[in-house]
Amino acid sequence: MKYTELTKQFRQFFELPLTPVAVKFNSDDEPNIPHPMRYCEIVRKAAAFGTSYTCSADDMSCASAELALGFTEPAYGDVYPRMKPADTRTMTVTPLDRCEFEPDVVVVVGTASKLMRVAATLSKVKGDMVNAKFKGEFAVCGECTTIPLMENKVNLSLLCAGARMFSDYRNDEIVFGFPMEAFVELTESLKEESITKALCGCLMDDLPARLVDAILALGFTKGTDHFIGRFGDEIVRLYIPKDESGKSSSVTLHVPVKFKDAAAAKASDDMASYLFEEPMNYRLRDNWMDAILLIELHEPIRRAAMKPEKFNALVNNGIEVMLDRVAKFKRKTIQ
Amino acid sequence: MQEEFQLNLDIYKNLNRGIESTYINLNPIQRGGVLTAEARKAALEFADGYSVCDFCFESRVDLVQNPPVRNLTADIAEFLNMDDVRFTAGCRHAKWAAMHMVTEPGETLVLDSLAHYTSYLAAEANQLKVVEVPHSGYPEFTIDPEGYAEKFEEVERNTGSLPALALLTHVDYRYGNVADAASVGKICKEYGVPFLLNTAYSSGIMPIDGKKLGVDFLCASGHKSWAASAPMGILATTFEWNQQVFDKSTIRGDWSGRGFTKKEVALFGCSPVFGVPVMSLMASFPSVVERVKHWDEHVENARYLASQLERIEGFHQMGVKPTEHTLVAFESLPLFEAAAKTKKRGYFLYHELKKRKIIGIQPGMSKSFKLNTFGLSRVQVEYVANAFIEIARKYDIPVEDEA
Repeated sequence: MKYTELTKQFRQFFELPLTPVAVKFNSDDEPNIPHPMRYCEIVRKAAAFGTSYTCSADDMSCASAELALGFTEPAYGDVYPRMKPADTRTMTVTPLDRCEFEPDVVVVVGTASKLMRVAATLSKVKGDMVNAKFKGEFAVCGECTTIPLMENKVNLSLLCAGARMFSDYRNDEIVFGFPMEAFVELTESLKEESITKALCGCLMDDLPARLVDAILALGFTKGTDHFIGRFGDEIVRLYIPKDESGKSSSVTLHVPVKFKDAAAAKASDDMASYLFEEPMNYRLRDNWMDAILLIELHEPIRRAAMKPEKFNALVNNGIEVMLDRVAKFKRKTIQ
Repeated sequence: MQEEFQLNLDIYKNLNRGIESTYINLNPIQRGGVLTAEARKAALEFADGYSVCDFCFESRVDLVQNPPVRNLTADIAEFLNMDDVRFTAGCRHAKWAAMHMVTEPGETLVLDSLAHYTSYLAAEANQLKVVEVPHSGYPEFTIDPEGYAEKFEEVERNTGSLPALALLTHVDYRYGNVADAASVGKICKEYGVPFLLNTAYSSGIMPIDGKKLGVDFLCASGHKSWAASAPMGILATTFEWNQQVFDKSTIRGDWSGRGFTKKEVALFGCSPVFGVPVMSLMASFPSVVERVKHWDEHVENARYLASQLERIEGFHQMGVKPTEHTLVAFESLPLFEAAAKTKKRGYFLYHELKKRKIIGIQPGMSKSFKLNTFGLSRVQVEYVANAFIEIARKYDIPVEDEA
């Protein structure tokens, strides 16, 4: 994928106002920086205004960045993070969509809420936690450029005082640094998910996924408002009624039995009252007699579904009772 | 110099809908909005933007006399047995406007739990709390009017005052149940809670008498049920409320001193329905007045189709039976099971119907689906029934012999 398309896809998916920035160590470009600047300032300008800079050690106005980016070796002791060996001669920083070279690192500037989504997606793609190393110093340079390159890992930074004071980073902004390969892998995995899972845009229920899975495992498939499944020769519906306050602690099973007309259905009323007694019930609907079995769970359904053995036994037993009674009802009325 | 746009404009050329006029459309939201021949002609005549305003002397579209929009406003009020009417950008705008003008943020709206999503969104936009009247659950999903009284009292107990507004969806969009609006209206009167009735799917296709139903605000959808082009809505009210709902602007520019005292605030000054929407509504109105007299015949067609489809094993009409409306919902597990064996999966039903020149069943649906038979002739309904039966037989789903 070309860098322009990569950038477009990444920005659109995460709705980022600023452009990801490509960074290249020792590029072939000639330094063109108008006056000495901080590295973090160069990155934000590239992200916000689309400017491209190539700079040398002489163009760096921040000693920390000079060390972290490998322009110079430390005179005393060591510094972490830093490019080792310190053989950086020049660096080119440019908006990724205009990039004409193979970048080493991509730096992404955004608000905490936007980059939270980046982290969540990254974690799904990698199947792991996002491990960030930062301390609030050497931030854009060390934490988000050097670490991604030297350690080949994505890193997150809360920025440093210099970036916030001198380089125009806003209070709510943080920064992600990606090795190029990781950025490409993440971006190519981005697919626009449906806005909701419902065709019409209204979610019809608030059932947790675990509960839905528990019911599907029983052999039902999910309808809009209820579950439906074939058991033996019958199609059984499972509905989750709610009480006045919207809580659920029971399920109902339904098998509508069809008659040739409303009069025939009504004529079966005596048999229905005999066979469909507590905890069963029945309801006449035109030419249908709807047999209903109430299964009390005696606890909220979310909790009941977390005990699969008991939950399955209750529902399966209910289905068995329902099928048996409906078969008898049909034998004595229709056949 | 400005960069050249990289836009593919070819996709906007030769626009067409991909279906022919001879197709039978069962789309639940489209049947009542099919234009009459007169409306199609008027739509072409008034297709230009603001074309209704050639002779606008009163600064508001509802007051334009040529074409006769002013007459239409009064006639629609009479037709609905309400006192005053305005046109809105859809039924949702009408609901928002009524809520906006008669409630304060933080107050409570009591509504039925089958209400259209735009009822909830209108409440949200007006910063109202919502309290739902439960429905009866599977398989009928009906609303008990007494639930409104219970919820009114519950709101009063919890907040110290009655709800600011009650909303009932006259015909719900999921099962086509016709709610008992008159009983809810009576309860609202007893408690002194203003009553907003959403008649998308009812007014324009079935007879509605606002006064008999005890309605304070009635909103309607021109494109769903009045044979009008979208976006077209109607907000009707009584003289008791019309001044408050159609309140005029009082704002004045602090420097220029400009004021707009004829413009109605909740309607953005002048109803945003100039041109095709309002003229198609007008041109269809005589047919609408006539067609509601034949509502029973349309319901009978829907009942016939339900009885025919229920000959197919596993087909079962949900909602009130026999249906009291032309929008009908079915379960159809055997189609879902058949879909698993086809290359097109859940889309096979859509394709099988389209091959038979029938459209409007949501592509991808096979486990359950909705349709609307309003406006179809008995011959067309029979054709649809036979098509479903033919498809069932093709996929080895048992079909009962005709009684």
